[in-house]
Amino acid sequence: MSNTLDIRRLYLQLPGTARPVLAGIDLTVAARETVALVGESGSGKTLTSRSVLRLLPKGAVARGSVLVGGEDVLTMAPPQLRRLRTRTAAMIFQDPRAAINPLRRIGDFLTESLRPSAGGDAADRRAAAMLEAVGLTAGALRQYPGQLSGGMLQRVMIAAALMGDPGLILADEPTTALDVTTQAEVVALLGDLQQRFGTGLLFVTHDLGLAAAISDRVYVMYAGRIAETGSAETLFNHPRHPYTAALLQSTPRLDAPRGRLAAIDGQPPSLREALTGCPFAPRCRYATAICTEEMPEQLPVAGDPGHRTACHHSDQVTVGAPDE
Amino acid sequence: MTTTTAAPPRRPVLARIRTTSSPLYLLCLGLVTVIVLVALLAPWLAPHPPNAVDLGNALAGPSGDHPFGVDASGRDTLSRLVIGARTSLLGPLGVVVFSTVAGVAVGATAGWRGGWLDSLLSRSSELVFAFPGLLLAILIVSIYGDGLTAPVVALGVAYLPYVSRLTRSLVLAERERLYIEAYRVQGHSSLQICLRHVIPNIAPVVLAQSTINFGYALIDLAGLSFLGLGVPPLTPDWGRMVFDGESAIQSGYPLSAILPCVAIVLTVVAFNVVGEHWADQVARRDR
Amino acid sequence: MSFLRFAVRRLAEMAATLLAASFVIFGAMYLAPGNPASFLLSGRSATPEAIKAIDDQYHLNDPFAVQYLRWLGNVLHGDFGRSIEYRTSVSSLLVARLPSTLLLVAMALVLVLVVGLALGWISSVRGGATDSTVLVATAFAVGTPSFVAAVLLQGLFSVRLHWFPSSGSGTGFVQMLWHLTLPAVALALYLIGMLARVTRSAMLEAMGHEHVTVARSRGVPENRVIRRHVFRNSLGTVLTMGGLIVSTLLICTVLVESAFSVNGIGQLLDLSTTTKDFPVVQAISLIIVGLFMTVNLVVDLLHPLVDPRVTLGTRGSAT
Repeated sequence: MSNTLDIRRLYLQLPGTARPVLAGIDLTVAARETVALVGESGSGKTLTSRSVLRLLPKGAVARGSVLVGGEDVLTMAPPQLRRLRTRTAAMIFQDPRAAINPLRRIGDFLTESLRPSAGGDAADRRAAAMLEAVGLTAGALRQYPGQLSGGMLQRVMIAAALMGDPGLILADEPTTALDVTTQAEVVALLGDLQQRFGTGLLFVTHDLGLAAAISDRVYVMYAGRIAETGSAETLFNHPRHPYTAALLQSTPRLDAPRGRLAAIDGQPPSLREALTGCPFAPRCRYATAICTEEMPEQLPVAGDPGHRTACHHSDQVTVGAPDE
Repeated sequence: MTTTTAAPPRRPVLARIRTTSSPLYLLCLGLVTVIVLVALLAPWLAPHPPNAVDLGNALAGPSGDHPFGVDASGRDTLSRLVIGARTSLLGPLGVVVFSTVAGVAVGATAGWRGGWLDSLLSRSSELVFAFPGLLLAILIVSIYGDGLTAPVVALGVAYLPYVSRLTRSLVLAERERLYIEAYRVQGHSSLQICLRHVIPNIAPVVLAQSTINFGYALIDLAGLSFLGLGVPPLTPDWGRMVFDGESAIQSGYPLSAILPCVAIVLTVVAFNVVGEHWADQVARRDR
Repeated sequence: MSFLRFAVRRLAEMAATLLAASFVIFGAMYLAPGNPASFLLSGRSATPEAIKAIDDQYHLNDPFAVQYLRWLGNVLHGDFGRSIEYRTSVSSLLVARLPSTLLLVAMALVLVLVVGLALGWISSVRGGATDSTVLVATAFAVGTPSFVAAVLLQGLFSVRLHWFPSSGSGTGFVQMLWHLTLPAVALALYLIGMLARVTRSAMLEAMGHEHVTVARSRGVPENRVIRRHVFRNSLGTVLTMGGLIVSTLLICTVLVESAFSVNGIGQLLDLSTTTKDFPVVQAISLIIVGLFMTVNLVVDLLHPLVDPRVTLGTRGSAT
């Protein structure tokens, strides 16, 4: 069965940079599957999700293919692209207050993508239905964004994403701008809707713990590359990439012994630096000479074909207390 | 209690203004310089006396003796343009100096002191804002008649609230900065702090705005002269020259009217570009 | 606060400022050297009848406050007194000249709005060479006073090309339209430049907002994105220019009507200033200030409609 989303060897180069911001991304999402894309800011995770809708920065050059339902987004003609954006795939943005025009009503926002094709009445009916699906009343249609709370607005965003009945939803850090209680509600809602409507979900986040909790599979990104991928449980319990392990260690946990928070020393490489070896090498405690000379390939871990990692020393990686 | 030695961010006005310069800006800066120089050196530059009437030669075209031709009374256009630069620029200069000095004083007081003084000044500003500048000038001229002083004062008053409003908001922002607190603690008086530190820091923004206001004042005063309400009839003044030349246009000799028009437009555009560039530079520095 | 309270408060503020302005306009004649009577008569023969007429009109022997209030009361009834120069009621002078000025200002306003907004839109959306051209053109437009535009247009289109008449306002609607075309363009040019620039920068700023990208990401066609999210969000800024546009149009009629010999109210202001016919100057000044403030009030009241964040904006009760 063909995947809902299939990104193959995606390269993206921005003007005036020494290395591509996305360097060979392979990523799949199947129907009804929740896939998490985890990374810190600057890792390229947002750009990866935006490339699915071909929302690329001006002057960016893309290579490779991004297949949604078998069609390549990168080479689509404008009418097909509009159809994709209206009906096939939809994005939920991080900050709903910035993403919704404060001068127009909620109903206007919800129906604006469908009005040209489906007509006003049909669009209005669907908008009311979607609002109810996310737990709001149809009364919100007449209100302005300023009158709703952040949590409600994020629900509106979700409703908007569902308007075209898409097979694929891309959620770009949908809970980052919200408080913890609302986060949990929104995440539960997303999972619920996904099961009801049968969509595939790509959940972009910087929180590995959250990713592991809600998704089936996880991709960990660093400096424009996939560092590691596997099932949520495997990655959480048996990471085989130093970066994944470091991410897990730096997340404070209630059940772990008290001690200093382990932050990862150093910074990700800037786009002005060209890379030869592994981009994580300068910050990695397993790094050796080969790590700075040769870019590691993404290879399957023994005994688990779904678990792949790009590290020369993957067999040494353990999650333990950081040595001081 | 230790005194913090937060050094006031004093930046010399000109040094910062000369940062990135586009060719257009440099061109206009050059133009402004040329125009100002012409105005200053006018008596030595004009080939003929500006009011030398020669009716026999009326409306002749450009010739060796008169490179820009003559007007309906036989007066040399080039000389009138050059001498006219003086009156045409002097008036706006007066307006800008008056409105800037008074406006900064008023705005700084309002912003610094606040309270009832601030309310009073802002109500007065609202009243002045209700009158378009040219209307105030016309009103004054209808009372005091010919002469440049009355309209210049009237326009100065009309432009004052714009300067004071800008100054007030700048002063309000500066007042919260840390170095002000440092100076206060050291015992300096408000007036000292204001004069020696705050005003020099807000000066660039105000000066940029005043440069742009110069263009507006020039437009207003030239318009007044065009109506015959500003300068006395015989003075060479660009606005007046346009009025004089208008009938000549009807007879098919446009040069004596077109040239002062060009002079006005070029001067205003040049001052606008320079002023906007300075305002831009300051905004960029503060970002 | 509720919209009604907001409207009432703004109306009260406007009335207060207008009152103060009328006080200034009335009291201005006391600024003149000498006494008001000699000022009002200035240049004309000071016969006993003339002096008596002035006294009757202004009741100059009464205390200042009484004079002012009497004048104000008359004005509120539409009685602006008598012109000293023409010896008829000021109102009749104004009414006779109203059609020309009204049509002129209306034509100019249409030009400013249509051309100014269009240029700003095109300039910000197309970018590149179009943008540069518009920027240069508007820089010159903003540097061209209306009387300069008037004289240049007259020289080219009237005298040289004979496409338009160079003076007068014509009779009959169509004739007036034709006569007033050049004056309207001259009047509008400066403001077109200004409005185009303001619109352009407002739209450029709006284009950077996230919700514009979001609309595109949902497949909304580009034209609709620009219209509904970029232009629509710029309207607030554009609206605040309304007062400035109207007041500039009104006062510049003095210059343009003089250049084109249009017998409108602007020309009357010019003539009255030269002949020191002060009652007329007072009346026209008051009208201009009054109209300006009215437009400002309307702009303020429209603002919440354009931007619902202004009076609304707190959390509602949607569940």
